[in-house]
Amino acid sequence: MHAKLLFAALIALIAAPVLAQESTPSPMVKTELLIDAPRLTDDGEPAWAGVRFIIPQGWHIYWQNPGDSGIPTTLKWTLPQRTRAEAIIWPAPQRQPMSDMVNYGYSDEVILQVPLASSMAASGGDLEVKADWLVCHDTCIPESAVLKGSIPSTNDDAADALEKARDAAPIAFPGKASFSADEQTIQLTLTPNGAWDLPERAEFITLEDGVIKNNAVPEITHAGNNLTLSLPRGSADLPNPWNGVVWLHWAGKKPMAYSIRAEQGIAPIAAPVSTVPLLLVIGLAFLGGLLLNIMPCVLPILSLKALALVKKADAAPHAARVQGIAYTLGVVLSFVLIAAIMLGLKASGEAVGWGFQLQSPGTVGILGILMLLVSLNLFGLFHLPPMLGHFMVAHEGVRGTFLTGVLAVAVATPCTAPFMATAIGATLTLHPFTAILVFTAMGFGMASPFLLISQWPAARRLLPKPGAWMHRFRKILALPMLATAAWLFYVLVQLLYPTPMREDAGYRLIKPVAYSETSLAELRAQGVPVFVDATAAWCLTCKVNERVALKPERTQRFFADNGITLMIADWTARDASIAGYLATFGRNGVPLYVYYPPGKPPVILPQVLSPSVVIDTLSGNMTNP
Amino acid sequence: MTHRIARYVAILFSSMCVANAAMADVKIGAPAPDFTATDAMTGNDISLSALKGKLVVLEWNNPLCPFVKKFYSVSAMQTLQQNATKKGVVWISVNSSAEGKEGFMKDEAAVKDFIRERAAHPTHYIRDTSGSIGKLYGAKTTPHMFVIDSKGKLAYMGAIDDTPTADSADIATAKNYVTRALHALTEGEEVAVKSTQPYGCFVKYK
Repeated sequence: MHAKLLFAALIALIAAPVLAQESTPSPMVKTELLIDAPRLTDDGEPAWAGVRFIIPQGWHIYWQNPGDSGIPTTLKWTLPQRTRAEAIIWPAPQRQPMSDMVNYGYSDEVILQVPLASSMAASGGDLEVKADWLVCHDTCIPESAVLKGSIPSTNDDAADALEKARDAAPIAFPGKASFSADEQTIQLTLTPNGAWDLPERAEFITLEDGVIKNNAVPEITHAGNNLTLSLPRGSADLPNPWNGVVWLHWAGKKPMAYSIRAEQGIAPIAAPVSTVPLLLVIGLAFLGGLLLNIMPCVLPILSLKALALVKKADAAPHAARVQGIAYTLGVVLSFVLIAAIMLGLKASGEAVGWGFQLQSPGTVGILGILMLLVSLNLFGLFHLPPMLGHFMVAHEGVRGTFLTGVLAVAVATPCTAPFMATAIGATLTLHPFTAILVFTAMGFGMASPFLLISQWPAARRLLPKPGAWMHRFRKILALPMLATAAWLFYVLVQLLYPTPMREDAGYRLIKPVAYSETSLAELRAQGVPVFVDATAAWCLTCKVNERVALKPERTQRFFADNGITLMIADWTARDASIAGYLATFGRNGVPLYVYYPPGKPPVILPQVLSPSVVIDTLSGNMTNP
Repeated sequence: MTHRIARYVAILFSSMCVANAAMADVKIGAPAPDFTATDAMTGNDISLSALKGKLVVLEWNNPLCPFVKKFYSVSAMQTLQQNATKKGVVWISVNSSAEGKEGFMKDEAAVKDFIRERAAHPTHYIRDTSGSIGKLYGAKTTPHMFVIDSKGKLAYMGAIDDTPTADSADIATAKNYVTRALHALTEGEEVAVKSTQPYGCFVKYK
């Protein structure tokens, strides 16, 4: 009797664990612990531990963001003292469509691993990981496994597998990712560093859920070197930055996955150099320099100098030729100097562009005083002592002419001639040597009329014959110089005591707003048309355009009637964000006029505006109601 | 003329196609989409619009889904339902599993069996076998919860709580978004968390 009981008890004892095991089914997904940690050190030598998941055919487990359904796979590590696990290195997930919905995860096999970081005194010991996952096919099964090992330890197969998995993990996209959105769609733009083959197809797997509809296939567009994915928005608010993984597909090439960190904002126009050939840039620079001669800043100095030259040239043609070369040298070397300073400042991280010298109160002050002295001199009211006589416009010596060239360039900078903008903008991305070449071309362009006059008598004969009228002419030309001086002092005041430009009384019918990257993005997201006017107090072309094209009642009324917001980017003083904004259009000078129709890409307007140009361009780009 | 007709037909056709394929676009603060369906518990028809004036909870249900079982196996969902309905909330369980798919309820008797076996306390249980109500709301997972205020506007949508696991032990420490939403609405306060990513098994549509 007792024996039977004892026997039964024994059976029960033996059977119990077996029965207990059978009641928890073993997971469908097989897991294996992989450790590559030969040493635990704090010298930055990484140690790795991971779990290999072997998933039955047709089933899948999930990524950090599972997508429309599911739960992320998790690893919980129990490690010995002074060793910790860092974040999981996630291999690129695949989209797993399921009728109307899409999940993000892995099928067949995946290795999730973590780097192990140890402090100096880490001694090692037991290691344990609890993996939890959901495996789905037409049904879902939550599963779990506890795997044990110890560190330090390693084996070749594990090390190989872990390394291969790391190599296959998505690397950060080599370039910039940016996005913008309106109520319905979000545009993700990828701007690579350098040239690439434009992918034909792309898929975006978002980390933050709900930003896009997971089941959408993006519409792909190319603009220059950029790739833009257009995706329908989901119900979530826009995160900033927006993270995810992009899969890019090319014909005949293996698809590549990159991890993306997209910032909200305007996408930079990729590689302007590839679109404008260098020779054309140099040509435009020359043309721009040439046109600078008729700008109000330069004309007074130049015309006086030209006439003085004509007066003496017939008598001393050789001296005239030398003067021509001296002036040219003055102009060209000044351009090169400005370019060198600009490039140097840019290299040291300053956000400078053309006209940067006028963003500094000191330079503006000196130039203003200079203009004043010159104009007073032209009026005949002021005679500079012989030493400073060099600055007298009428001086004929070689040095004087050279310095006249320098002066001409100094006062030329407030004026941006047509064509100059593209040329100067191109220097943003050129090699410094090539950039200086462009500026040299500009210098030659500007000096060419004077050079021509000095070298060829035939050209001189085209100019009016010198005479007594020149004295009155000097006084007349003194006026624009005086005006320039007054204006430079105005700029100085603006720099020292800035008042927001938009409080300008000239805008009566509309209320302009100040530029900021976030305000622009917000207005665009609301579907508001925006006209950006990048300007500066020292930019004469800008002021003229505003007076002639933007402030007239006709234009203001058009803006008001169509709900267009005027956004003013005031670059009077140095401003890195405005410099960055200009750079996205391949520019580094003002003025820049950009119109943003709702839901469409921006339109750049020409540098010389009139009310009709503004109104016609904007009307032509209205979205049809 | 024919050209214009052709264009209109094309637009109409494509919009119809899009409507069939797409999941819905429900928005917080917007009126919750109206629907009429048969309550499997009584055989009577119910419609959402008739429930204005009351708080309504929609719970997407699939008895075989591990995440639904997480709550039902420890009576957590049943307690939620009971507490809510006692306060006058209308709790509607919706099952959008199609025929032949996991969780499909083949008739009213199957529903009544489920409710009895689980001691569940919904006010109504709808067999949405065509999936139309599910697609109307964009229900993606089971469970997927929607809370509608007394004016018929959507006040919360998403996960039932903040701990996306299949482990019942996690319920006690999790933040339950439905309870909080209902509490806020009854007190006349702002619902703090209005929208979250739902977790669970995917709804077994056709």
